[in-house]
Amino acid sequence: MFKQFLNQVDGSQVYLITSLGIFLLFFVMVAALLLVMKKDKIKYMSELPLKDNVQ
Amino acid sequence: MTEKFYYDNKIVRNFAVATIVWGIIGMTVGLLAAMQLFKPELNMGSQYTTFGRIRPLHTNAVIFAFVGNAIFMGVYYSLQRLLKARMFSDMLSKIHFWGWQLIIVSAVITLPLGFTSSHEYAELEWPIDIAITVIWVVFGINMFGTIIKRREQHMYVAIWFYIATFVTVAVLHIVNSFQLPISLFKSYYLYAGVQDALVQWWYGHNAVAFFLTTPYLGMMYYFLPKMANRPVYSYKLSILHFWSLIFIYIWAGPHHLLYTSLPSWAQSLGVVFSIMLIAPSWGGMINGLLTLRGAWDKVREDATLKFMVVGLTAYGMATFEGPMLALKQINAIAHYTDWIVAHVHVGALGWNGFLTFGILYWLIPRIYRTPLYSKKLAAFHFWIGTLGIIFYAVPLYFAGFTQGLMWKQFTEDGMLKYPNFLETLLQIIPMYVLRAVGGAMYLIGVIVMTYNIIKTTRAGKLLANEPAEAQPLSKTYEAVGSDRKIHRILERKPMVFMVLSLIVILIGGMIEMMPTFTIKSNIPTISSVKPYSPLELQGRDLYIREGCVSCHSQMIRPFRSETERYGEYSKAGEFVYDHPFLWGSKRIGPDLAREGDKYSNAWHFNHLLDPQTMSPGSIMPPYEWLINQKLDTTTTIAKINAMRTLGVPYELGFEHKANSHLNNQAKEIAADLRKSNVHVQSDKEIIAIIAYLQRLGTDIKAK
Repeated sequence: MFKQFLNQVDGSQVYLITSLGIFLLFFVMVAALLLVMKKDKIKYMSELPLKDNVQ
Repeated sequence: MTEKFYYDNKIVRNFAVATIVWGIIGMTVGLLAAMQLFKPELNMGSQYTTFGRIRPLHTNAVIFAFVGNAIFMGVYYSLQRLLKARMFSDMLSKIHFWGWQLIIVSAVITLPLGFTSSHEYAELEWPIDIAITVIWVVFGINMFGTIIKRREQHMYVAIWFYIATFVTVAVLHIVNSFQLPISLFKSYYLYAGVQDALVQWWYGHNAVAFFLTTPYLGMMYYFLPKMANRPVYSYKLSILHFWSLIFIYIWAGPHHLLYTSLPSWAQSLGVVFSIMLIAPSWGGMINGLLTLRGAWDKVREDATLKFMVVGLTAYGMATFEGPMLALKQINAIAHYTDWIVAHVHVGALGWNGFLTFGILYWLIPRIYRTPLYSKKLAAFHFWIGTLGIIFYAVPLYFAGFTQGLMWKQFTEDGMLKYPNFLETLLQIIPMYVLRAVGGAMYLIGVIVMTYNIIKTTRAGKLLANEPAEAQPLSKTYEAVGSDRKIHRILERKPMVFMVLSLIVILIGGMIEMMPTFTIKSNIPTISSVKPYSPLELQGRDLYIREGCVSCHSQMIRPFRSETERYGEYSKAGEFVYDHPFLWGSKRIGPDLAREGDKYSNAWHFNHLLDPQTMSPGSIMPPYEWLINQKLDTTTTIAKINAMRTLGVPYELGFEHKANSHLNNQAKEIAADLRKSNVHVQSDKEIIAIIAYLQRLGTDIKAK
């Protein structure tokens, strides 16, 4: 199945690999941002819906 | 110093009412369409209620009227509270509300009349497209205006989903609406064939992503924590899955075109990103379900939460199935069958429907300041709705597997086991009956909900302006500590956020579409493929008007099972003059890509007059009005000119000869029909549609 799939991509791997590369880069950037976020801020943000005085 | 202000609940109420009203209408039309699949007479002999015309009415009503109004209801309620501000402008809210309803009404009128662009989920003609753009911008100004005058510094994750929805739907709608108008309600798409298909399914897929998914995820992130009275399970996960989701979704469109004439690299790109999509989709589902950790006892008692749980589960099932269906091997069987219809309805009925109901049950008692009229009726709605989904989906899955496999079955001698398409259809008719039963159950649930909500509103009184107070934001913001971090800055700057979302979605869209538009070798031309004759062109527009594309594909995939049944597989170069493409997405009837010269003109005449006489058991409705109605030839010149503008090589001056050319061809067909004892005047619509059908696929057929 995978062999068949890879064969079908021929001549166009450049699109596939570039696209995946762009996504990987993007994903790593978002992940890095998450790692440096502070816990108290996360807590503050996640409680925003509960703080609107409407029950 | 805190400021006093009021939340606008009236606009929320209005959108809630619209959600319910259009929901009932859209689902009723859906039920009628479903019943026509086993009782075609249910169009009651009228051309305005045939399956081909009410199917787009159903999809548009459910997507843009039911779900659309529910989105605005959820956004207008949650946005005000998350930002601690009233909506930017009451006037804009009103224009948005009435404008949107007007657009829906115009859809309800124009679609049965046959005014359609034929692009799925974008059928509305160009003047309505413009109206949609205007109203969408009004919504955007109102939303960003509210964000700007907010009293809460940071934008909660729900708002990012709303922003991504706004910006992406705007891009999708505009790119998929590039049309050249011929008259007030007729236009041709700028793109043709493969390019048109790519744009349409880039749009279609992302309409699912950014109209049916992202706004609902935003609503889930607001309403679920409110209902469960606890914060979302993981805020970090919400950030990660937000960015991944909007990034990946936009690339996955080509999975709707697997094994078609679309260049294979574009198909592969679509497959890879579709499979990756499972991760961010499940990120959202898991985040939602785990928000209920420690609150499961509430789920047992609270119908509202029950709706949310089943809704999220349906989302999980549909988003697992989506990537699976994008695998070529599975798609080979599933595509064009009812499997796809089952798949989208798990999403629509389960995810969109149930989340909407959950939110309505939670929100209406709050803005009317009274408890829900009957918890028992809500529980009944939940159960009949859930059973309805099961009774809807399971028969269609079965129908899909059965028919998909029957199409591909060969005898030991290497012949098609079911060479007659109709045989495979008759096999699944009982499943169509069951599906309608499931749909009816679901609709009964909605009617019960409506009763319950009306009773609730009667018992209470709308708190049109809900008082609230909050500290205003200081004019200058001093970032301290971790607030200097990039994402924290983003959360304070809505415009930067919007631009970034726009860039993220544009990357995928551009890499996917640019090569097909710019590199010539992606669509090899075929010298024997010629433009349509004027009569065929008019016939093609009748084919579009009648919505034939709802049931008949024009795309033969390169499988032996298809080439044996329909003929040579379709090539990209065959569609270069097709504005718009008419590949279709579902085969309720057989593919028509090579229909030309297969049967006599008389066969087509009799078949259109009464399909059952030529194919006993057929579920196609009779099209007798085509025989009585005169073909409108006043548009021929404009059509030829428009096509030439779009690059179809009609000679200069041909437009003036077009109608005499049209008349000659029509007379030839009428004369041929006379030989078979069929007497019909040559100026009737049926002649044009026969001319078109007889042309299909003949350009590259060996004579």
